[in-house]
Amino acid sequence: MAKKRWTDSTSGKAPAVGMNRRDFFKAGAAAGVGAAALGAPVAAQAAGHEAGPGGITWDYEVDVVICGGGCAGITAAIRARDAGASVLVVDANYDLGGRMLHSGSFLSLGGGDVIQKRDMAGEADAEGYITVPPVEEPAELDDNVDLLFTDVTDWSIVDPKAQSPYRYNEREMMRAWAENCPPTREFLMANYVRFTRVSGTHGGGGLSRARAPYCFLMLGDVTDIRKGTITAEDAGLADPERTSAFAPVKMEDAASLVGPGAVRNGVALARPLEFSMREKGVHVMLNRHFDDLIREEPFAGRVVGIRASYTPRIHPESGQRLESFWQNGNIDERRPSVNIRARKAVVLASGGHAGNPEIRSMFYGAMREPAFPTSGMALLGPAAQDGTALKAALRIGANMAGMQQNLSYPTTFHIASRLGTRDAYTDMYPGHPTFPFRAATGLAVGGSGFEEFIAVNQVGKRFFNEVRLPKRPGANRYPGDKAAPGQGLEHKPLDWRNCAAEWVRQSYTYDHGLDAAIAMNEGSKAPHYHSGSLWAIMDQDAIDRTGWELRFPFVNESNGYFFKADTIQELAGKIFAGHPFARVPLSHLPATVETWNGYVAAGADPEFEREKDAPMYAIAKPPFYALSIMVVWHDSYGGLRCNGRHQVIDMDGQPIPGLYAGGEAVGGFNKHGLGKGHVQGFIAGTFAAAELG
Amino acid sequence: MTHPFKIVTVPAPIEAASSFRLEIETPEFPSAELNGTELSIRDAEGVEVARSAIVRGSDGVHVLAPVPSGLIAPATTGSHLWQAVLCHDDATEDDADTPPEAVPFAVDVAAHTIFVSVWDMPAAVEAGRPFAATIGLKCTCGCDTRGWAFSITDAVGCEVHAGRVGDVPAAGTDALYHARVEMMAPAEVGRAVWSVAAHCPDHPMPHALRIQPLHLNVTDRAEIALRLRVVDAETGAPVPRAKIVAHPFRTLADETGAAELRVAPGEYRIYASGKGYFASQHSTRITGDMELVAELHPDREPTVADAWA
Repeated sequence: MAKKRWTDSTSGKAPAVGMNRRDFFKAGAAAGVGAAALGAPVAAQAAGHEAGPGGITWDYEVDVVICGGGCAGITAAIRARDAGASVLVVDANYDLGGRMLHSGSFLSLGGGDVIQKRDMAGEADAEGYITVPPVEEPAELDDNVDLLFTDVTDWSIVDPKAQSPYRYNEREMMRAWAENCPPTREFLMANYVRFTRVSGTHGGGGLSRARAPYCFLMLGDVTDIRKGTITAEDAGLADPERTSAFAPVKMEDAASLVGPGAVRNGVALARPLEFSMREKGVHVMLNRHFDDLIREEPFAGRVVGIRASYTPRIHPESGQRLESFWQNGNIDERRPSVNIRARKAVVLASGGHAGNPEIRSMFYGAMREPAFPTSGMALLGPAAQDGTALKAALRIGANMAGMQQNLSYPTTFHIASRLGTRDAYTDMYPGHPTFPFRAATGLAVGGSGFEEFIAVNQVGKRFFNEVRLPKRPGANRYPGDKAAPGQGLEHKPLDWRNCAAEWVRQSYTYDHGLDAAIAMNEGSKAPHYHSGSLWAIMDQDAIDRTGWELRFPFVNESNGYFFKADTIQELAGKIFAGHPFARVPLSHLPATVETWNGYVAAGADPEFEREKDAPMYAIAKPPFYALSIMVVWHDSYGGLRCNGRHQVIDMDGQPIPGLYAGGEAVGGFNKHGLGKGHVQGFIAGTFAAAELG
Repeated sequence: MTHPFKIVTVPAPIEAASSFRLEIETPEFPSAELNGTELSIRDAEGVEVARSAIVRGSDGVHVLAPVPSGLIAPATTGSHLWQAVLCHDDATEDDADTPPEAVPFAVDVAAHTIFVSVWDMPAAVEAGRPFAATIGLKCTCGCDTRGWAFSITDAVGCEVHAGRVGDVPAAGTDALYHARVEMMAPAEVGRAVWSVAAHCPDHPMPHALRIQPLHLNVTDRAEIALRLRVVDAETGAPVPRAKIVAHPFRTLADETGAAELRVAPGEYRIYASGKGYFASQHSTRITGDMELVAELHPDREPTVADAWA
């Protein structure tokens, strides 16, 4: 039996307010005995306790079990804990935060929330950190719940892909979301989250008003969540080529939205919330993948618990298990599988399915290609966004919603402009414990950098005008600069002219480079006909022109995503031998480069008309380089159907008793990012804690 | 006799004496379950060269699991008929009643290729004037190319240069031996495609003759000065080392964003771009000296708001 470790969140002092340890281990030896009893074998604590369905033995028992410790899960956990429930968060990764931790923290709520009101009044924050004036005009912040609800259910909006982002949203859920945006904003602030000035709105958050600030911390001598300060080292800013265990992605300057010394990104959201959650006595079981729901009957009765399996993340070099940044509240449980009883409810907040090629290929068969991951694979590990909530809930009779919305969000999947790493969505440097899983930061070439090389597929053939590959469709949010008739406040909701043919023709900007990139080619074989990997092929002249630094940590010749060779033919051979997803040789590469050099000499690219968009350069001077180009399926919008309380709904339209969901596990809300997850977690946590149990 | 599967080499053909692997193709649909089937691989003389099992990769493709010594192709070119013999647990090859099932497959061997690289050559050369290029040779299988010969022929097949590469690898390469070559541009203006061929007589391994094109853009005297100043469109700050392309002429700006390009008279689409800047283009007829200011729009890192529209 593995040794159990227990540290109370308040550093060994009395449990936090409302906390009752007996609540947690109902069958524990003597109530409140403390460390000795808690160190006893878990099975003994459960001995004699009532068995679960099918004679299942409970290893742990708690009021509310939260599956997943990201934006929805942590919010739900704190909310339920605040209401007096005992709460356990189970997460497959070694640390908390999910993709909230590597996010930009652009948190779009609205409906007249306190930050909108603060900026409307031209006021600073209570701590006085904000010293810059509001970014948005008061009229652009003048919001209310009805307008927000209208915006996120507006049937008339058509985006630059000529798709309709709002009309398919689940109406009851959207009403609940709009009504809970203002209280969620205040709730987050009460849990150490600090918001910058409002600046625009996040995608899917509506066209009428400015609704999104970022989250910030102030650079200081110490990292102190209560005071809102962070050291440059923890923020990843002390060394240009290091990140910290605290912040997997370097924090960004927030001076223009706060004042000098302010830094922002998901770290300023995830770490404060995690800190608060642990401080309040929420229990955490990391390295624990939520596998299955336990219901009284296969398709009837309450959901009474979960089954979860041990998924440690082992450092590839040291062989050691990765450990979370903060430990208080952690339960070090290492058995292969445990059953956890939820007396009141289970909240599914374990993310979507963007990391599961089988599920995401329901919407685009080409995306069954496993060579392309979801974002944050190094930080989040192999279980990230694997669709486990969807799979588990379907097994007990849940329904789905908004599945088609996976394809109607314009930038769900895109081509990243960071080359030479599998984890191309964000930066990460040595210093974060998960860096070895990507082994390179990648070379950020931007959109303009695509003029320096040719892009080829798995057989070494070009497939599209390179400079158009990283282009993404424009906005579908406030301000409606490229995707809505009129600008900002001139936007008129629910007006048929919003989807008039003239406007659609004018705004249509969708580029199909990604679709060409994942199309079948000569190397696509049955049964899946995978399109294979993509490569940026360049020569030494490109490096001399640009000054790109082809060295560690940006690239790494042993990570399988960067190769260097004396000749193009040798380069093709190295990719085939060294890339983990190479299935066929890049047999066309030498001919492709030769043909390309002919095009450059002729000044015209008859295949893809590159010469109309950008200059062309020969690929001639050795050595030659290949850097991976990654397609990223960032997130998912289809998922479990929920009602306004965020109860999961079954195939007969009835709530499944004791089962809630939030964040990307939920479908039917075509909104990207945090604003969806936090509010849904807030609602789910509220109602889960209120269950009688 | 029909076989439950077909064996192909990867790559195909294989270069003489180099390594390869085997993939198993199943003609029926859906594919047969072959996982774990053990095969004895025998060369054209019937000598066992490897023994391994078929495994199914995560992508659904069956392959022969790698063997420690690898599979090495014969050193002679042509098609060699090898066999994969199925190994049965309950029957040995000596058992006269159950002859082993053998699946023949072709091991097609090709000559090594001498890969020719041509670099450091001007994109435009003036008619009848000298120009230089660097020629590098490398055998695709790693044969030592020091001192190997090459020849350059013009568009009508006349040899314009014959030379040998030296014994120092080109900068940044492991073993790409090279030579700097001076040549004379044709007298006629326009595109010309010359060719470079490498030779290696008397080498123990077969080497195929490979012709590499050498592209020439032959122009009139490039005597018109096109002066550019490349600046940031938002700040007016110079863009150092900006790239200027007025096909076929091209150059780099200096540290102050200034560039001078000598061009021949004509119609041009002029591109200016720079590290961190999107390309900006301007089409014009050039008949005399000209000065242009190119304003470039910065390619800033997309914000979260940009990225997640």
